[in-house]
Formats: sequence, structure tokens, C-alpha cells
Amino acid sequence: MKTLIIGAGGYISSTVLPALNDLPDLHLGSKNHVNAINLANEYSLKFFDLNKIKKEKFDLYFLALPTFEVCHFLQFLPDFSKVWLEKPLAALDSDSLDELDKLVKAKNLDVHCGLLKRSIVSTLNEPIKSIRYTCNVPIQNNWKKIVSGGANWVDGIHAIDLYYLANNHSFKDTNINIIDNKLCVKHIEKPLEVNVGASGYDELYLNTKNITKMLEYEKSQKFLRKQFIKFTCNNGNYDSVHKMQSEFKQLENIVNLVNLKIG
Amino acid sequence: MKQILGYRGEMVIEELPVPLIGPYDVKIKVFSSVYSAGTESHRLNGQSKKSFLTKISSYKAVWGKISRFKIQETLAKYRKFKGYYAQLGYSCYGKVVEVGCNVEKNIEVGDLVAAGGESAFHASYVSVPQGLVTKCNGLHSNNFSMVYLATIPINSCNQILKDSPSKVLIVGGGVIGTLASLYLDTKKVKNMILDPNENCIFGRNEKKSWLKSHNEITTKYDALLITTGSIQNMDDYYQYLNKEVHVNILGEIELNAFTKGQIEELYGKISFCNSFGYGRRDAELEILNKNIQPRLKTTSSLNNNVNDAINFLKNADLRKFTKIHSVEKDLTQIDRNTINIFEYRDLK
Repeated sequence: MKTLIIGAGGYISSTVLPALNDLPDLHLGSKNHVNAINLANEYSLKFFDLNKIKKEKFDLYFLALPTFEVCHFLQFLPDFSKVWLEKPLAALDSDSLDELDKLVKAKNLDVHCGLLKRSIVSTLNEPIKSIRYTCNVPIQNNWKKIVSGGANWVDGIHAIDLYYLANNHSFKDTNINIIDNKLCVKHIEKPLEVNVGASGYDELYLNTKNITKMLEYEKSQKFLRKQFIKFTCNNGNYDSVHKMQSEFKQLENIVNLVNLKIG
Repeated sequence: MKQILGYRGEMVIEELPVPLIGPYDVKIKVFSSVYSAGTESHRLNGQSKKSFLTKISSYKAVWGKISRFKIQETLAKYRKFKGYYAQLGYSCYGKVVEVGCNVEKNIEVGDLVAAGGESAFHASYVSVPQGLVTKCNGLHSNNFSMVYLATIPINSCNQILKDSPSKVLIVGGGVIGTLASLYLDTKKVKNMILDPNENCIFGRNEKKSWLKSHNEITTKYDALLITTGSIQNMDDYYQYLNKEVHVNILGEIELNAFTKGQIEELYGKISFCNSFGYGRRDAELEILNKNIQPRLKTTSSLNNNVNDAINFLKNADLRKFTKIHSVEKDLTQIDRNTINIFEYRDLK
């Protein structure tokens, strides 16, 4: 399957390429050509100049881009393409989510959302009872627009996704507030704390167990490969994920973080 | 298009596709970009075989014996990165040729702009997020390329100036230290450069005195502005500081060069702040020592004022400190101890 990976950031180098580099006919392109060339050389992949994206067709597109750039690149893809989106859609505000939905339907795209943090659920042999997640986000004026990538930010979104998965609750049952430059999600009944803010450190605790980064990488690579290969011969999870994300209307509050400043 | 890259410790010029723009980006045809001697030499040297060998030999000095595991780890890292291209540059000037569909800033095709940050490379075309692009009119073109680089020392000086110091000690005589000194001169604040590496750009000019070692310091200072990563021990500077000193750390300083104990000892005696500019890998640096960062953050300011840099550069005559290079020529032999400006003006 002729696959184009778009993006050459930390997630691609730490997880995607170690997991998928042995697949045949893998091409790598990025807005930042040099990053893509470096990684393509390291993994003996073919570098692809994204300026030619409209001219060459691939069987599958793996988009590892900042969420707010996804729609921009989706419009260049041919109709009926299979598309893997690295991140959940929850980082999108409702307008962007609608825009994405229209594009997906108009182009008849077969989309799969990575939901990559779900892999760490398997690190526990018991149901998730509590999540405490803290990640460092460099909040600056309009940081979302001036800082490319934003892996830390999206990690927070993944934590929320995990919470959703673990509890199977609607976000209507939760309180979302911004306290001390942190987005705090607290469930009315269940013990949950998701802090997304300039905290200075990253931590993820599931049921009081600290999930280390290394464990997370290993699990993520295995999980990604399994899910990716499944997607090559099945439909993506877009409909169910989109339905779930649509319930995240309260998460529009997240977008207001762009107005926050460090004290 | 042409781009200057670091490869195995040397600067090379490579032909690459023109960068794409995202919805919030601005594509710029670059006229000139400035080489930040400290930051970029550090990146280049870090790629070289020599630096890896130095690192390996340093293990013995630190631990008294060489760890085989540590050597293997370092060699593996060297093998991985020796083939990597490093992207250099973070401050440039040019003309807007394309604007992303969601750009909200008042920037149009044809505008002359300064740009900064991690995507403002030494390249004939760059694609930079709108927040790091500023319209500039009426400046000398060479100074234009320094706008974002100058923002770093000028914001740092502005933080120090809030405490009205009468004498400032600037550690590091590279581009940042030189610009800081010139800026303080315009504010009529006495300042002295101390350059332990003896690479002071002022040394070339010979019109301003500077110090080569802390042993040469003869007076006490109200403020300390640290612009270099070469400092290993803050104790060297204690005795030359007055009480309630405002210490400002800026640039690519690895904060773990200061031990936690030293930092805590300094608290209460002096105030700390940092002024990492946009695109200066501030997030990465700020998690290096997570124990002190929450405290440093309380006094840090991430709101860089680009306008102060523009106003300063409008009137500054920096020609005696700068050297112009055409990107058509070989760059391996450039003097890294001056303010080097790369020009792309004639490139298609």
C-alpha cells in the first residue's frame, strides 16, 4: 500500500517510524523539508516534496500535523482517500469540527483517528478508576497559532479521551473550569483530574500508577502498528469518533486558553 | 531554493524545495538573515565528531573511570546524528510572497517584514507562523535581519531596567551581549562586558573596554545579564554583585549548569528572571530543571516587544560589527566571532 506520512515531528520519530518503517512503499513529507529528509534518510524511506501533493496519488495518507492544520491539508487529497489522523478531534473548536466534517463527507474520505493514548490502557490489568494527568503547555499570546505542533497540548486532549473511554460518560456530567492557567476537568462523582497548563512537568497516573514515557512509547508503537494494519483493510473509526467529539462541545472552552497569559 | 544547513559540524548550502505554508503561516522571500554566533556555533559544534570525542573523554573527568555503556550510548547517538542536517538561523528579513488562508495579522503580499523563530532559517524562502512576522519599514536592510535576534537582549535589558540599575555586568560578548551593551548605552546605563571565552565582538572593535576574566572585575554591579552558556559556577560572580541584584538569564543557557543549591542560595538575595524569546526553544529549556522552573516562571515574561528592537535598530549603526556574506559563496571559512549576515538578494 503506497502510503504518505505527512509530518516529521516528535511523534513520527519516536513512535510512527519505529513501528511502521518496514512497511513497503512508505513516503515521508513535511512542511519542514529538512526534518523529513533527515528521518527519511535514517529509516531509508522515500522523501516526498509536499509541493507535489496534488500531482501524486497515494493509497493512504497518515497526517501527523497540528490539529488546526488538518483541514488545510485534507483539501489537497483526492476523493475517496484513506486518511489516518494522528490525533483526536477534540482540539478542534465546533466551527473547525464542522469544517472537517463537511470536507470528509464531500470528499468521501475514509478517516481513522489515532486516539493513540488508548494504548496505555493496556498497561493496566484493571479498569481505570482514576486519571491524573498533567502536561506542560507553553501558553503564550496566541500560542496555538505561533507554536507549531503542540504535542503537549494534544496530550491533554488524549487524557480526556482516555477518561471518556474509561468511564463511558458524557461530558455533560463533568465540570470544566480554567483555574490558575490550567484547564481542569473534574467529574461530578468519579475521581478525575486533568490539568493542562504551564505546570512545568508532565505526569500521567492511572489508578495512582505512574505511567512512564518509555512504557508509553513501547505500548504506543505496538498499538499503532496493530491499528494501522487493521485500517489498511477496514474502514476507519471516524463516525464513532466524530459522534463522541461532538459531545465535547464544552471543550470549546479550551480554545479560550489562547487568551491566557502567564502571570 | 538555497538553504544553509549544518552538516557534520560545517555549514553547507543545499538546494531544497520551497517550504509550504500552513493556514497561519507567511511565506517570505528572504533578503538577509543573521548568524547568531553563540547559538549556531553551539549547534554546529555539537554535530561534529570532535564534540562527541570531547564528550566521551569528559566522562573520565567526571566519574574517574570511563563507562562502556555511556560510550556506546554516545557513539550510537553520533552514528544517528552524523548524517542529520541541522537547520540554522532564527532571525531574517525579506518580502512576503504568500499569505496563509487564516492569517489574521495585517500582512499582505509585497510587505517587507522581519521574521523570527525556529522556522526563520538561513534560506532563500521561509514559511513562518504569523505571530513571528512583523512589518518593518524604513530600516537599513542589514539591521532588518536582526530584529528578532535583537528582541531577545532588548527585552532582557528592559526587565533589568525596571530596577534602574546604575551599572550592569553583561556576561558574554557575542551577538546578544554586544546588542545588549549597545542598547544599554542608548539608555545611558553604564555596562561592562565580561567574556570568559575571549570572543568578545567588542574586542575586534577596540573602542570599548571589556573583561576577559572575572578576576579583572574591579567594581560592584547592580545587575547581571547572562548571555552565554559557558558559566559553570555562579560563585565566580557573587562577590562582584551588590545586594538586591537583578540577574537576567537569557538565550540558550542550560539552566542545569547552575546547581539547585546555588539557585536556592541566590533566591532572597537577588531576583531572577529569564527572557527566552519566541522560537528559542524555551519550553524545552524550561523543563530541564523542573524543580526551579515554577519559581522562575513567576518572574518570566514571554511577551517580547518587537517594537523596541525595531526602534533600536532604526538608529543603531552596526556596520562595524557586521560582515556580509553572499550565499553563493563557500561559508565554511567564515569568522564565527562576529555578526555575520547572509544575503540572498540575487537568488531566484
